[in-house]
Amino acid sequence: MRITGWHIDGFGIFSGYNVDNLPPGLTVIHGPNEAGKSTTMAFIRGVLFGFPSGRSSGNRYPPLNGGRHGGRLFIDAVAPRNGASDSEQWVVERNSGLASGTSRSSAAGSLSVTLPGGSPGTPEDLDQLLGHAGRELFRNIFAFSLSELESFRTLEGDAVRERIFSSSTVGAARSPNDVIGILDRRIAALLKRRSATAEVNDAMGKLDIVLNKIHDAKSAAADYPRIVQKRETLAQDIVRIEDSLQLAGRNLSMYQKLIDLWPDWLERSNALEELERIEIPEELPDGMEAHLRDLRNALHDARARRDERLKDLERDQRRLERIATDDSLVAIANDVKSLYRDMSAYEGHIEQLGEIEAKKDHEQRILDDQLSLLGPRWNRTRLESLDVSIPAANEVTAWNSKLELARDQLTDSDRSLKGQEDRIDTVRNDLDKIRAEFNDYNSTPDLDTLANDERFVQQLHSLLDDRVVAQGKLEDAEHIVEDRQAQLAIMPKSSATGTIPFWAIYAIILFMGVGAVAMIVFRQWLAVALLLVAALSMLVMSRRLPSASVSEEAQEAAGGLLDKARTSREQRVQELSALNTQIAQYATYFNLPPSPSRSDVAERATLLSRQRDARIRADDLARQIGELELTLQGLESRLQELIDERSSRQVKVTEITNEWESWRRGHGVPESMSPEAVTDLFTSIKRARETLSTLDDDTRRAISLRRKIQQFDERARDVISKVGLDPGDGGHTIATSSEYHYDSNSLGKLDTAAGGATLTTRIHNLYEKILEDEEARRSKEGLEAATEHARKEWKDAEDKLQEVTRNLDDLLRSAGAANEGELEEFIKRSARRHELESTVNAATTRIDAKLGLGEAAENMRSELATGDRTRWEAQLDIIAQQIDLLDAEKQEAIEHKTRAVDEDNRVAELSDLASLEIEAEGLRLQIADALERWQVAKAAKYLIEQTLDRYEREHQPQVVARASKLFAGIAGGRYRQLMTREGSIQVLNSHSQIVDVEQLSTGTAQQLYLCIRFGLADEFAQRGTLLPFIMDEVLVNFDPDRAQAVAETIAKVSTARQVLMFTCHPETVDMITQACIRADVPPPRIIDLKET
Amino acid sequence: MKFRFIHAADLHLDTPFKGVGKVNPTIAEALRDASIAAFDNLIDLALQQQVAFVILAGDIYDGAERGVRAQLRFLAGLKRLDNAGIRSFIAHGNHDPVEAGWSAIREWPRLVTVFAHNEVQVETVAIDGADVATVHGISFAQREESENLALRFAGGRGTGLQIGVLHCNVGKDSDHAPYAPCTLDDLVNAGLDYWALGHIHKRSILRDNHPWVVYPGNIQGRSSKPSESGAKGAYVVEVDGTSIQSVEFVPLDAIRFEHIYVSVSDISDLPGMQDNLQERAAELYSQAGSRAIILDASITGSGPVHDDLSREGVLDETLQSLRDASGDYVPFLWWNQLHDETSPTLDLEKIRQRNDFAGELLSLADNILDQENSMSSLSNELLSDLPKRKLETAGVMVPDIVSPALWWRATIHALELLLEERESDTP
Repeated sequence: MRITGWHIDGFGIFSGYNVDNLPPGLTVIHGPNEAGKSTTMAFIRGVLFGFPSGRSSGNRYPPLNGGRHGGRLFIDAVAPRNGASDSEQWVVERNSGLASGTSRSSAAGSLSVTLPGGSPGTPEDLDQLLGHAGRELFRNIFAFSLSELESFRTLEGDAVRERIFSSSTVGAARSPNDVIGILDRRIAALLKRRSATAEVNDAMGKLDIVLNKIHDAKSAAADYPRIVQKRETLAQDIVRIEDSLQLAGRNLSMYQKLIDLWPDWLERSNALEELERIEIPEELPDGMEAHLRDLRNALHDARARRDERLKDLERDQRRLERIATDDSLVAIANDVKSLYRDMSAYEGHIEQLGEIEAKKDHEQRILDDQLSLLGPRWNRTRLESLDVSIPAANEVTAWNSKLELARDQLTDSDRSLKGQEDRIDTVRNDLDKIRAEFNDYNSTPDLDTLANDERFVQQLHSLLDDRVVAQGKLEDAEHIVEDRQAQLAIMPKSSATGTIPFWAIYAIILFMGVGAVAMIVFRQWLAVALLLVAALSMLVMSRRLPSASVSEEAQEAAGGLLDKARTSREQRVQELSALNTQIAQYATYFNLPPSPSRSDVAERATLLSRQRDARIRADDLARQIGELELTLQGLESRLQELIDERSSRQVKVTEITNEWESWRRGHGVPESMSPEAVTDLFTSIKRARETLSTLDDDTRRAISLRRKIQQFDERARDVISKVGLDPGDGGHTIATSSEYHYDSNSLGKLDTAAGGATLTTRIHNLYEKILEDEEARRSKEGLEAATEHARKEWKDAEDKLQEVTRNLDDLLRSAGAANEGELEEFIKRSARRHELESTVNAATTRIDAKLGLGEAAENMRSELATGDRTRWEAQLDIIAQQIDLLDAEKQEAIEHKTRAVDEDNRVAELSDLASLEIEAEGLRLQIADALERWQVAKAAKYLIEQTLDRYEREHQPQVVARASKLFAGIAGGRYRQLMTREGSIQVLNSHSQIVDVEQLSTGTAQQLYLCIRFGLADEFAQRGTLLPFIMDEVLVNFDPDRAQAVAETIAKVSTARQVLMFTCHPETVDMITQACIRADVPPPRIIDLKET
Repeated sequence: MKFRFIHAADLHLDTPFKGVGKVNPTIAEALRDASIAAFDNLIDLALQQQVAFVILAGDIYDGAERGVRAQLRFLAGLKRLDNAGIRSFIAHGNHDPVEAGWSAIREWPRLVTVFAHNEVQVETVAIDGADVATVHGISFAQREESENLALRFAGGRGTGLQIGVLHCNVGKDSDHAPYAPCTLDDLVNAGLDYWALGHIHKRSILRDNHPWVVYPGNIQGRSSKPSESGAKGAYVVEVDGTSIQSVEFVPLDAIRFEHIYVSVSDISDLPGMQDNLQERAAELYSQAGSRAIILDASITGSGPVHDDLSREGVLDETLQSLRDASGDYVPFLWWNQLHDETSPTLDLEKIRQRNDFAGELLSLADNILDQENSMSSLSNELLSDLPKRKLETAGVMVPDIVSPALWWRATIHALELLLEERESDTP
């Protein structure tokens, strides 16, 4: 099989990349790091065996430069040495996610196989083409990198063996040893000696437990009849004991009943005996006892009532005797009551009189104060003579208003005058300031002059700009003239001969040097030849450069051009001169130098601008001065008007004052009083007059009150004297009317004698006595009526007592008793008889109820009649002991029976064999299933071990023999042979010593493994498929001699099968090329990845 | 006179079930009670059909030392018949011979007849004072009963329908122990009208006229074996005078064992297979008439499902998934076991042609399977680790050799492990 080329749609850095016409032998794919060597190798592996799964995107080489992930390999299926025609070519295409009729999609990408002739193929066809080699096999033997070559080194002993020989197990995705490992683990998990966790061991343990339970259950079940027998015997025992217990219980009950009945029996017997002993003369009628009791109660009540009524009568009579009355009070009772009613008014009058007198004193003091305030000569007469009526007061008010108005107007005039004078001062100050500023600006030229100057400055500025342009043009014209002159000067007179330029000579020398070095270092005649060719090419190129030649026509044309340039320069000079003249004129006007600078002109422009601003300000100030002068004139004329108005107002004030003085004198008002003061005087006089009037009213009220007091006093003295009291005593304390008087000079004073209070006290006392006497008279009348009633009741009670006594006598006679004591004895005996009869009846009922009827009852009665209670109690104790014994026996039997039942139940439970059998059967099934799997695993392991053993025995020697031959050739005589011992590879050196692979150097070991791969590949070829070798940098660890030897080996190998070598080292490319020459095989095709 | 009787056999009360793996407690309880529940169904049927008598032709209990519970429940059932005036005729078989074991039953109900073991016992059945049938019967004295007991029977010793009750192996059925062996002719020659036999668990009517020879099978299946699966019950025999009018089978089983076979050849994946299994199970369940079902399934055929099932744990997970999906069935539908009998998709012929490791392994396996001796000696070598005696003591069936089927499974297993393609290796 041969890979003839590939097309990469998109894979790592490649996109739309093609390689074709790969030869059947050796191809070297060369490129620096990152050029895509590993990518290409991964691509080839991926298309043939699938792309790695998505878990590691790094291994998948996602397309970095576009294109669909994947691509195509073109494969020639025929033997490599035979040339393949297009019609025999296979196309194997694999893309991620591709879906088509002939493709199979999987995680590894979708595969499409096209057979020679264009018909679609299947994955199986590809598998066939690849000789059933899997990815692992291909990687291990045919397509490997340096790292994979080195990885053999890191493995040891069995691992190396495993790696090498599992590689040869074509078609096995897993190595047999891996499978054996899997099976070993599976076998151990299922069954293992002395393991508790292995499935069979675990289930067997559980089964043992269940089987023991089954054994126990069966044993227990066999014991079941004995348990049942025991249980039944015990049940019978319990029945027997319960019978005995019942009998004992009945006896116990009987004796207990005898003891219980004995008190009733005894009570009945005693009652019967006593009944026989009771004697009564004759039968008493029913209710005798109650009748006697009622009569006795009635007698007792009647006596008590009579005694009580008698006590009431005597008490009322004693009270009546204690009440006393005074007949003399009856005559004055009405007068005293009348006085008593007026007494509060009288006391009120005395109190009012005191208050009025106090008020009068106060008002007198106010009047005195008011008169002294008016002046020293003011008294009651003068007070009443002055006219202070409302019209007079209104007139004074009018005078006052008039005078105030005139004075206010005068004050207004003063204020206006002052304000006007202030305004005039302000205007004058402003005018002075503006005039001063105006004088500062007034020297500036007028605006028209300034506008003219500014225009001139602008023109001067333009002229200066024009002069700069003119100067530039002049310089250009001079340059053109110079250039034309120079051109004319360098024009050759005839054509020049071509020469080799210096750069070409240098290049030739450089190439020659490099060529020499290359020849020495690389011994590469081809490279030297290429360099020589390159150098010669350069020489030719340099000589082919065009050589210059100048004609006479050209010289003439150049002269014409020079003349034109000179003419133009003259025009520029003249233009500049005219401009300078104009500038000088303007400069003179502005007093500037004849050729002013731009800054001079700018300065002048700034000055003109400032002058324009000053001129505008001066004109504005002149206008303001005119306006202020007009304002000042107006203000001064107004000031004069105000002065005149004030003078007239002053005259009016003087006139009104004189008229007021005339009115005052006419009305008797004191001198020098203003109308305002006169108004106040009138007010004070009015107040003093009001005080005087109030004082007169109070004096009249005091006289009236004294009169009323005196009248009461007289009535009181009269009544007091009537009851025999000394009126002088009373008169001494009561003031007469003469003692109350109004002293007009001292403006009234009340003499309040203490005697007034004494009089009212006496009236009060007298009134109290009259009321007490009236109350005593009413009590006496009530008591007299009550005494009469009590006497009547006492009489009724006495009658009732007599009646009851008669009834009692009647009763005693009817009972035949001599007296009450005898009757009571009769009643007592009769009651006892009835009581005993009840006792007998009750006891008989109770005994009958407990004993019932029949023989047993009669026997019990007979037994009771014996009255042998001691024996009964003794029997009771004996039976109770029997019952205790029987109870204990019964309890024991019940416990035995319970245990027997429990055992019975336990056996029934134990003998629940079905559940246990089900469990056991489940476990057996599990064990059988596990054993079946165990057997399968054991047999499978056996098959693999046997096959592996046979495989190694049959195939290994051939592989080693082939590898040995190749290795001896590479080792240059140092190592002679490879051999296997106990499955491991060993090496025989030139001294016939056996060396382990571990003792070899890295490079030697790698050579050895390479040889083993070649051996394995030959072994694989026995199956009829020659797969290509794809190697990546496998020579780098070898010394030069070994590397050459290996390269030669590879070259030889390439005669039998296709070899693709990847390298980044140019020297490796050379080495391979040389090796092909030495091995006499066709040179390799070199593909430079850099060129892609 | 018309009357009817029931013929049942092989009650195997408290019977251990075979081939039932670990089950949940509910199902374990149902299994424990299944044989007794089936017996209760039998008594209910007798009462409901108002039969004249019930014949139980041997193997009442599963073993001589059967549990107390089974005996007490058996007695309770007979008492119900006795109370209803229905006679019972019981013969002991090889599982409950008279001389072995014991009886927790101290006293049989009045209308119960347990046949003696030393001679054929003859009982007459009367209805309303008229003798309608004569029942002949004999019990096994011991388990290993090798005598042809059928020869002891002789007709013409009574009136009415002549019935023989015997636990025996007619025609030496190789699937059952050869106890009380006899031939059909032996039975025919005895001169009876109806042979009520027991011992063979798969019901069959060996002869349907003069005389009728009938095995009713057991009343409750005990495993998923063909003879134990499917409907189980008893025959109700309608009689008119001495003529058998009909023999009708009535199912009595409390739990039914079934075994289904599903091919995966046309099924692309596991869900498809599971759907197919569930459909089949639902169909069986609907046919079982409100019975619990214990179901085994064998998966056969070849296809992609084989690869899925070959993966570690997949079969168990599928079984669990089926159990989960049938959790709503009441009474239950229990998936007992799945048997993976599928074949791989490997092209063995192609592998054989390849001169590589797989080809050599297949060649080696072919050689082993071709040579029985070689296989036998290899088996001994392979099974040397097996604690055979211990397993046998525990009642675990251990094959002496690795069977050809297992060798073949091992070969396929080895090939699959070797050739198992990882995704990245797919060409």
